[in-house]
Amino acid sequence: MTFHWPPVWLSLQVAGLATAGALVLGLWLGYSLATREFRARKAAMGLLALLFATPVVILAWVFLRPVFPWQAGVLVGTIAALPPVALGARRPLQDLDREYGGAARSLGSSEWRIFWRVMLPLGWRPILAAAAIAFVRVWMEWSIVAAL
Amino acid sequence: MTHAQIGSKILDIDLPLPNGITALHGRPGAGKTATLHSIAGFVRPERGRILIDDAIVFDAGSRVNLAPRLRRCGWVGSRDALFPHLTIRQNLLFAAGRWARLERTKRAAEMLERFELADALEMRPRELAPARRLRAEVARALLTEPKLLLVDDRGAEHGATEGLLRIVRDTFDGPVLWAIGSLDLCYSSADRLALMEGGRLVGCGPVREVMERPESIEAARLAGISNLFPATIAALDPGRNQSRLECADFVLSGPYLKGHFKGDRVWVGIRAEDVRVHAAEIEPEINFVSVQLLRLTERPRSLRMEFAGSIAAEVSREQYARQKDNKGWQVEFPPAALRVF
Repeated sequence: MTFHWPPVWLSLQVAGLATAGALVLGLWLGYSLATREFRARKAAMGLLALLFATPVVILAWVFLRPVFPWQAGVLVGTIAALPPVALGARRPLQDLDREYGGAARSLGSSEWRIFWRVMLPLGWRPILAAAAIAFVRVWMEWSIVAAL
Repeated sequence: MTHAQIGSKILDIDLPLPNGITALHGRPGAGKTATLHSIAGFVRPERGRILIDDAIVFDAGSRVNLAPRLRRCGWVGSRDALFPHLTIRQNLLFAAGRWARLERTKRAAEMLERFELADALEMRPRELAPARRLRAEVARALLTEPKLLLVDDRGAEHGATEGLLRIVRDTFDGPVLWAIGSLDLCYSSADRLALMEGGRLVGCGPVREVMERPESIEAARLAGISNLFPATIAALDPGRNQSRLECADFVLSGPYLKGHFKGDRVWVGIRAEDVRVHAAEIEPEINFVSVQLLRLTERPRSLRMEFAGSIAAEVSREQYARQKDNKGWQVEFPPAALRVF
């Protein structure tokens, strides 16, 4: 029996790239939600929760029908992977900010430096877990989308 | 000039911060942390103005509100905030980011030496005792050359010590606002004392002045005056420099009260260590009150005797040993030790 590999590679490729894209956007969003008070904060959280509840197959149906290149699939996958990354990273980043954010800011550090030198080294485990959930979500559902 | 005028739902303070250590003392929930957070820029007050070294960092009127990283406030919070993934040396180097590498290393090493942490260079924060972690955190905050140092209280066990405050005084000559829970430490190590109660300052000034001549009943309570009685001024005699104060259960004779009138309602206070204890058998003199002993509690260097009528006295062990067989008790309130609010 021969196994047809190309669809598997394509799914992994789409899920991997989508997770990477979601990590960049989602960490920025999660960090902003964790450390800043802004007016649309609750609305952004609600939108992310709604997006999390929406199956990838529906997002694909809305954005990609009738035919689409795999690169467009990555874009949809990124949107689908964004909520688990942003919401998953928000809480640990918020806890870390409460503990170390004040001290780091009073030392004159920029938000960028605080994120890279303090938050990420201390909070990489829950962020990695959130990224894994995002990857699995896109990969599992991408196979359904691909089958459509 | 460094000065904080802060108004919000829970705070209403006007606190000058001259160079030297100002101790901020008050009960839990009095607003000490909220004050420190407002000055550091972590919370935005509703009203007021905050100046740090003549620079306005917050002004509600003109909507100026500088971010914490631009205020040049050294900050040490009530919880450990040394970055746990970095060694003590790396923690200090993090704060010295604006200098060149060689200068950074030199400054960090010097600071660690001053704070007696030279042996802990390559240790992680968890390997240090809490008191040494606090030292390292203060050293890290001072490495940024702040214009003002803010330190929150860490409790009696892990908090400030005379040694640490002495090092800070030798290292930093700018203003320091330090929340300190122990009055003894305030007295021995701070230059000024600010007493807080319910989000307001109830006393502020040189330590000895605030402790020995509190301006209000709240300040007296915070300054450790445990015997406080409501009284009415029954007589005033400027010629003999005397006054007569009628409390609920006894009458006291005190010095003439300038600025008061006969019939005024006042509070009379006296420190427990100023109250003298006598046997009931001896002839009562001026300001002697017969009392009933309720309980005796041990203190590190004295004994606290609590009598009926909310009267307390602190006596030495030797003094108590001489009188422990007394059948009854009298307490004496020396007129010179009475404080009237």
